[in-house]
Amino acid sequence: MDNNYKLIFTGPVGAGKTTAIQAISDTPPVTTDAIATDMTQNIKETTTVAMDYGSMQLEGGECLHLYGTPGQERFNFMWEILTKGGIGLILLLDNTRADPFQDMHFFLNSFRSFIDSTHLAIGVTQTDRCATPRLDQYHEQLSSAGLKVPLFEVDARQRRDVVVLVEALLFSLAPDLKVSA
Amino acid sequence: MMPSIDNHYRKPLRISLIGMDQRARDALQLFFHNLCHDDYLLADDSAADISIFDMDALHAQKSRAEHSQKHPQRPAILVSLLECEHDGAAFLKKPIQPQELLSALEKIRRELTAGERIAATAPVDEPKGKLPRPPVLDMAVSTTGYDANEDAAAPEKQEEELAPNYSGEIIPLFPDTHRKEEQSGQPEVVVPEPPQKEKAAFLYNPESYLQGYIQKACQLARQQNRNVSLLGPWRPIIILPETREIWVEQSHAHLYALSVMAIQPEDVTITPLESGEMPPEEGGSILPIELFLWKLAVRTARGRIPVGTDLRAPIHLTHWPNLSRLMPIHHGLRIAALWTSQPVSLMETATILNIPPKYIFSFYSAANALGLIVHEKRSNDDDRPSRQANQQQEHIGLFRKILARLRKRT
Repeated sequence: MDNNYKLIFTGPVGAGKTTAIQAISDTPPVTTDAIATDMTQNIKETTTVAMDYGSMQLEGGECLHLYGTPGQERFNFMWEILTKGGIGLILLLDNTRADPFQDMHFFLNSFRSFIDSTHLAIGVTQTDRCATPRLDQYHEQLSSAGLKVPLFEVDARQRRDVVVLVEALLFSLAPDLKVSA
Repeated sequence: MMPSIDNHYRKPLRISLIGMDQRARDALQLFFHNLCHDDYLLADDSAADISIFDMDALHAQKSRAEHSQKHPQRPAILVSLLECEHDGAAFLKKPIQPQELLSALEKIRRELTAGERIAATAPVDEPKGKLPRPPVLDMAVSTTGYDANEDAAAPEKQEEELAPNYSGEIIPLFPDTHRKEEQSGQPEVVVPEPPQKEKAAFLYNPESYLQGYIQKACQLARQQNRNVSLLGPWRPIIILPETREIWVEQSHAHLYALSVMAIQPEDVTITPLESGEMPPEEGGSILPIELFLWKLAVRTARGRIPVGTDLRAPIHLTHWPNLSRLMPIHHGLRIAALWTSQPVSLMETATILNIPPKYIFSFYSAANALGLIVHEKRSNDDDRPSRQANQQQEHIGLFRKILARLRKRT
């Protein structure tokens, strides 16, 4: 993996992980979707059962691999494998779910050691359908968890939104980072 | 007080602006239209009676010299942050005070009238009485985010009832010491803290502007948990604390255009509404206060910081602003990342990020308007940025490539 790096997208079912990867991947993402047979079928027809994969080819032959974790908790044995060697975590939260804070804390706890060794950026999706909780309420929750991380409203279908989120993650990792001309 | 201006019929004085950016032009046009009743009109250089030069612009001296050769008889007013050679031309120091500008214009009008030099029939940009929509409204609108919707709004009436005793500064242009850097793409050394003499140009008082009155109204609304009405030289504005929204009857673009005009406290009324009293269901528009106030502060600050800001005091952000939806500020993500990672002063920020202070000042002013800035006392054991270990240095090259890749397709 010398010239290969990973960026991990995680979040609950339906938060937009597959769509976000699709928005910035150079190639159509490889998904391992299957027909949803559990409660997920109430949300969408198919769901990711192993991972999503996309990639960005970088200058100099390097590659950034974009991995999306499966949303259901029963696949969380995959998460540790996926995060190994990752440069940071993008957490997408669906604001229309019953308890987005519970979702957030679940993923924060699950990925805590990875977050502590890298960094985290959070995108809240579906805010146009459900305005609450508000972002400042998310920040309060994050503050209680000792985190001050980028947190934006995001439409995973909009490349610009996903780019802002990833850029915020990179600048959080290295605030003095400059973009070459 | 405005200078006394004769009310008998007279022709508008046609003015050519040279070296001014679009915002300064817009502000002047709005000022001439709304407050001077089109006694002065912006005109093409070929048809103007008088020229106003921004001597802080690139190649200003050259432009002035060329212009003098082309129009040797045309009177001129020079504006600059610092005293400059003006060879007998009128000179106004920035920020320009309306009274001073009008006095200078009227003096020139008298001289021109005496010399009968005002052409009666030459065309002007926009004939008097035919200014349905000052260009400022179109030009000032950003095409990003929610602003795109503003352009789709139905055409509005443009008559504005502004305070007759208006006396604000109108074009406090920020000294663009980094213009060369922006054009060449080669960053220059960050401008050091300005000497006291120039410092005022970097400062503004939000309380004198619409921004300050909106902030006061928001504060009152929060304290009383009631909707609050804000009346002044604009159409009604109502703050809705429960949903953290603002209702405005006027177009957003026009309100943003008003952002540069100082407004007297006696012209503004902030009143809590009766419980349950809501804005009219028809007309007007509602948007999140955060989005409105952020943009208003950026427009008002224009690269400046509020008076009383200590350039050397360490600050940090309470949390990240919602930068995917707020009006973008150049380098905003970098500034936010730095200010959420550690307490840093404004001057240190300029050094660490190696960016022009005007971007930092804009971001500071906007974040401060939203209450996101926290001032910290410096302690001896502070972890100074220059000494802070950066665990990610090994990946800097990689991050840079990712950024470049992301932006290539944006």
